[in-house]
Amino acid sequence: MYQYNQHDQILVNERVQQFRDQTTRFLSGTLSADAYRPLRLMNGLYLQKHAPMLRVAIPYGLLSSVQLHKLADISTTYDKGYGHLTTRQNLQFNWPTLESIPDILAELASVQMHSIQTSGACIRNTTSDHLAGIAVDEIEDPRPYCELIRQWSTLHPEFSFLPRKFKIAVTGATHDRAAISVHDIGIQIVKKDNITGFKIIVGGGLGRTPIIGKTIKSFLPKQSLYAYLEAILRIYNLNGRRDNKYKARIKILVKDFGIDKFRDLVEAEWQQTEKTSPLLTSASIASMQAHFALPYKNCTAKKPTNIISTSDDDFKAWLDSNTQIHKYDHLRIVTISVKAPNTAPGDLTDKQMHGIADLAEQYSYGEIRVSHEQNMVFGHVNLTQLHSLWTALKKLNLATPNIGKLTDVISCPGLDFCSLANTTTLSIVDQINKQFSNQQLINDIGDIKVKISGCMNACGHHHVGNIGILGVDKKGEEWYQITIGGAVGFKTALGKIIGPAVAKSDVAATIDKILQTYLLQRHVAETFSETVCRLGIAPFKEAVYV
Amino acid sequence: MYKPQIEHTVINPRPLTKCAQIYKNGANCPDHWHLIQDINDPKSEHLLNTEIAIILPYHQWLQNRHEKLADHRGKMGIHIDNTETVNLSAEDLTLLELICLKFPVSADGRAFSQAAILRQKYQYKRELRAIGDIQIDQLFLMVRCGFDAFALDDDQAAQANHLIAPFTVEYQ
Repeated sequence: MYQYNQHDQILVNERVQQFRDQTTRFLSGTLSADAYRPLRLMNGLYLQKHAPMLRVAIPYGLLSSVQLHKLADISTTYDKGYGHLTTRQNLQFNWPTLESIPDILAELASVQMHSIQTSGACIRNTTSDHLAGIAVDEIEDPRPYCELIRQWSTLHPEFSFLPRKFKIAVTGATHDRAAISVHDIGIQIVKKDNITGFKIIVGGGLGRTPIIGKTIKSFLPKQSLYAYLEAILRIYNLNGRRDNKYKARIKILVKDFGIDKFRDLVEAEWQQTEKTSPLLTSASIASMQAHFALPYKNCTAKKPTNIISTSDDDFKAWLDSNTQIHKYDHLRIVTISVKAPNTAPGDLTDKQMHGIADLAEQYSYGEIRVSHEQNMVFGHVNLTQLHSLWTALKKLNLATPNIGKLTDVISCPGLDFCSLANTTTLSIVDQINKQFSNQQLINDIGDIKVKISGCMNACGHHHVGNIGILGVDKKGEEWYQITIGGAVGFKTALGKIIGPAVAKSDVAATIDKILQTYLLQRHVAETFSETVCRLGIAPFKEAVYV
Repeated sequence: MYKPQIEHTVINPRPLTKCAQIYKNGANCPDHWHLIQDINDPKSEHLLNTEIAIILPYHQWLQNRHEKLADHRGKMGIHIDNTETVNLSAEDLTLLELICLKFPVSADGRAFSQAAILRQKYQYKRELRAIGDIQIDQLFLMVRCGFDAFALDDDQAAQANHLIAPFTVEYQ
């Protein structure tokens, strides 16, 4: 993974100093709350329902064991002993004190981490595919470009006061695991005439007005990456709405202008930026790629045949659901399930974080990936070590065999933590876990993504859940609107509402009716998503409401 | 933030102090420029065709630089709203000695892009001034976009030196 050079380290150190100074001035009263607000947001600090919340950047979801140990220590010393993984591959601390934030940032800087631009009207964490570098379907590793974009976007003086937040995602495989179609800018590495370049998608997003992004450029030569991004950001900065924060994202601008007019504006600006922006040279790409070289050499990349025979049913269940093929045949990708029953999705205790960090050293070259689905991934586990890893993960309550299945729920923290929420979400996760505690049933239902958001901001990505659940406030009570048919990937689809919102106590039963319908009507080997695609929502709607 | 010598400025009007100042080269110094909101307003008459340094509205500059302003002997500059698309000719760039860009509220960052366009596309080399609701913690970003003069009040100017260059390295 990327190792800071002196330049990188000085930047984060000076940023800590700057924020320490700003926080001191705020606490002493010489800086007003209004003036402090954008500054603290640009350092990831929210003032939330119960306590300040700090969002730490995990660039493109990649962490070292050393860094994870430090996050664990911070959670012990400054927080209540846990951290929360987000749908953008970051980690949140829910209980730090405001006064301690500069010290926390100093601790982060000591392990090459920061919280820069994890909030605010600026360019946020550039996210990616949690299987980057190791996926069988990879065309090219997107992470070097993520790091280059991270540097380009960090403290960019022109783009620090945008109309609203700006999110970029990059994927380099034939399956999009980075949800690029619902980002402000989505970048896909593509091949044309045997060279790779970028397909650029713009104006996607979830939230109040979910929109699937449109292609602005089908093939951009790599060297023009900075110039093109600058052109898009400049057109957005100048033209995005400033009068209404609910209409200020680039997706609204692209929708209002239409993609063709928007493209014309960007291309005209690009004529200019191409002259003044630095080129992304092959030398700098190669130099960055060296940071992401896999830690093992001379391997055979061929599709493995079935890997391990075992008579241990529990181990087999875990192998089947929580591990997957690696591009090299002696290795396997392991997903650490942060979705155990009776836990909040994506929450890790300090003990678990230390445990994962140690296991990563032992089993996966000291490297951990954070997925968008609030789980962690070990990218390089030797086949012969899977059983002992599983044993260790079980002790940490991180081996629930549910990845990609019903109880691998993606959920925002909801009303229990977030001042924006209309409803609780953790209560719904709980209901689902209790209603569907039978592992056989879960396996039978198979691949399905349930995504829950506690309000229209859609941090739980409910629009793109196979089953999406949105908490709504109806006369002060918690009600839940159910959608089905959502999906992420290159065939991104937004879920359709099946009917009126259901009462809180009915949610699990409603999900049950939907799933029973699926089990009754599916064709052989058809996933839930495929059945919905084939049948439409009518039979499900009938099952729930009639 | 801008303290006018004339009555018309509407951006965050502050009580008049003894003279207008502008923060340049590390300190607040007297500002000899006069910002005109409308050259057709009779109250602005006395400033035209004089030796006085005047800052004109962008569109009025474009319309009048060969007419009403042709005989003005003093320096001339323009102020551009942050909703405008900047479009200057080579001749404009030789005649203009000051450009003011605006921050109606500090969160409205359009002028950062206007500044970048002026410095990069137009290669504008003279004074580029930030006026309006400026937060001193934004100064270091403004400097990097090409601003070299800022309308700050005395309190802000006193703190500005400490905050204007917090980084010794940068990524872009």
